[in-house]
Amino acid sequence: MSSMQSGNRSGVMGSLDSAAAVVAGFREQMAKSATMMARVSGWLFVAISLFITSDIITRKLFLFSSRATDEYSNYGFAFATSWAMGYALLTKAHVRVDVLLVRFPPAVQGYLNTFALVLVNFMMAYVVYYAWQTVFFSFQIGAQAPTIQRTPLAWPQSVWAIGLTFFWFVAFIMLVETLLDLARGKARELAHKIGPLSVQAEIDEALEAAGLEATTAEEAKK
Amino acid sequence: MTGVLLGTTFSILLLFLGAAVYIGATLGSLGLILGFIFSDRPLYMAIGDLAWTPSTSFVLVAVPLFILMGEILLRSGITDRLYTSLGGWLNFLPGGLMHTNIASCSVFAAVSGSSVATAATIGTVALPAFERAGYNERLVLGSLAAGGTLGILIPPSINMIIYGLLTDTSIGRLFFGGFIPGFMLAGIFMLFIAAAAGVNPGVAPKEVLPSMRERIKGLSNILPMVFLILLVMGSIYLGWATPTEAAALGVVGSLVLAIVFRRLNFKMLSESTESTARTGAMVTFIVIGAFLFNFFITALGLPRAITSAITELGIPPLATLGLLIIFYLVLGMFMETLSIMVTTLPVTFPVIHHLAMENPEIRVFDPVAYGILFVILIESALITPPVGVNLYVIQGIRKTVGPMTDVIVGAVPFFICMIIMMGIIVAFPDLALWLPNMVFD
Repeated sequence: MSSMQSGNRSGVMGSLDSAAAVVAGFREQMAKSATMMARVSGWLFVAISLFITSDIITRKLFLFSSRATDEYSNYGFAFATSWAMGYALLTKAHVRVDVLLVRFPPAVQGYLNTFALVLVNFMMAYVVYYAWQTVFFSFQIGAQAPTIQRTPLAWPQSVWAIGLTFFWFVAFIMLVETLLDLARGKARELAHKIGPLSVQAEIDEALEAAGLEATTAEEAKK
Repeated sequence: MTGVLLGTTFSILLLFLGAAVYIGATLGSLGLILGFIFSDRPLYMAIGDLAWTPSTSFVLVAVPLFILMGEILLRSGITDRLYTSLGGWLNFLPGGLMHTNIASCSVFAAVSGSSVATAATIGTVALPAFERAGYNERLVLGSLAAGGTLGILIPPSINMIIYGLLTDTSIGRLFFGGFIPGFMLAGIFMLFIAAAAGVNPGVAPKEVLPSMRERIKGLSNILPMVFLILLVMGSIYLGWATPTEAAALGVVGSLVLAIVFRRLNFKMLSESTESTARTGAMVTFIVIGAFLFNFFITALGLPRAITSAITELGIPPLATLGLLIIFYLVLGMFMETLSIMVTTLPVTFPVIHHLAMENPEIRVFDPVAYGILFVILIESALITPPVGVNLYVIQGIRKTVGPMTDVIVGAVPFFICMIIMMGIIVAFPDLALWLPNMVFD
């Protein structure tokens, strides 16, 4: 079997293999963009915090407030969360109820993981379409935020819609990759690729962040 | 027609949840499918606004900010010192270091949004101290699993923000509402540990109290956390800041602490922000799904149908509440907290709201009091098997070899403490209402 997979396969299987290779390469590029976008998102939250804090200070000490923190923080939030959604999908951060899933045989898990991606695509197709409808409508009627700034809403909405569109795009590419894997009889490997994150992975992440990982590993050896 | 709608909704919901579809996509897709089957109206035209509304909700902005605050603190290496310092003040109690498990979890949980991070880091710091003989291992493991759940009850709490957003309840009131019950529950946990050690001194050895000098020195590790809690809750209390603004203050406060501890650097901050972006995006996707679900089922009249069906059964209001509690306890065995909230609140909260209208004298139906009861309820989901995240976390970091049942059995008494706390809230809802009423009225 392994010799057959080494690229010399002819016909349908061969073209599926090369298609999968193209998609996998594409996915890698996409993952890089997603990571960059998530970094931008993360730093936006720091910026929002500094912005709000400085406003609280000036408003308490100098009785001066920009009176825009709520509004601009909201736009920043819409920007940051929508732009990081694709990254969250790639890094398995989106919550799922996996109590049954992990009890199924790996092949069944592969199909269920594909089903989960089908539904993300279904939902996001509608959300993205109507998000852009909202943007175009805002452009058309020149919709403004009901605030002192009278921000033209179409602009923040466009940035947000771009983030959602990228999320849908990520989900779509992941689905194509998954379907190609299924077609090539690789359902078992999908559980690892797109299956939910294990609790152990979450623990490791938290401990690594707290700088505690090294001690645990050492003590486990003793 | 209503029966068909109800049946379809719950069958599809169970199917999607069972198939481990992402919660956001489960709710969003279910809403859309129901809209297509049961309505001729172009309900989907509202999707753009439905997604934009929570994406620009100032209340929801608090979620990533509190996460960021916790991420920065996690990386500032505060957990280690907090545990040792608190231990110095508490280990004279019967039960010894187990009290420190509860106390340090309460304090760390109060500033960290994640119960996994709380249980994992406190647990890792704590467990080596228990390697000496003399402690009942199951009780130690149980106290760590249960202590980690306090995070969602003691403010700031991300679960409370989501509850407030979905039920249109004031976040500030919920935060202050959780204060007394949160520390009371921690107190009940400690009371149980002390009682267990009193009845059976075999479960915990006597610890040596460090000198006063050492303990006072240790305060320098506890005070930063106290400072941060005061900064966040105090600014809301004084009316200087809304909960979201308080979260921003908390982020800046944690940055200051990281500078003081000499842990602030680009790499650390960049890791914190990346993690925040992921979790923030995760929560927002779920909330968008919940808003779609909520909109479609409300347009189709589902919550109203369920409410009137329950009213027609003629069950007394408190019995209805009892049934709801049992329903959530069972659900908590299979789902984690956020999923439970967003999938059930759109359906169960209208029932509570109706009961509150009909029975204004029963104050546990007040959205704040019920919110606190509800948070304790889903808190218990973290330690009930087979799906109890904290049980897995503690089993995952323990250094002795043993079955999962050690943790599960050890957590049982703490689960019972939570049930007792729920009873106390039902009997005395003022425990959750007095402080918010005093602060905001």
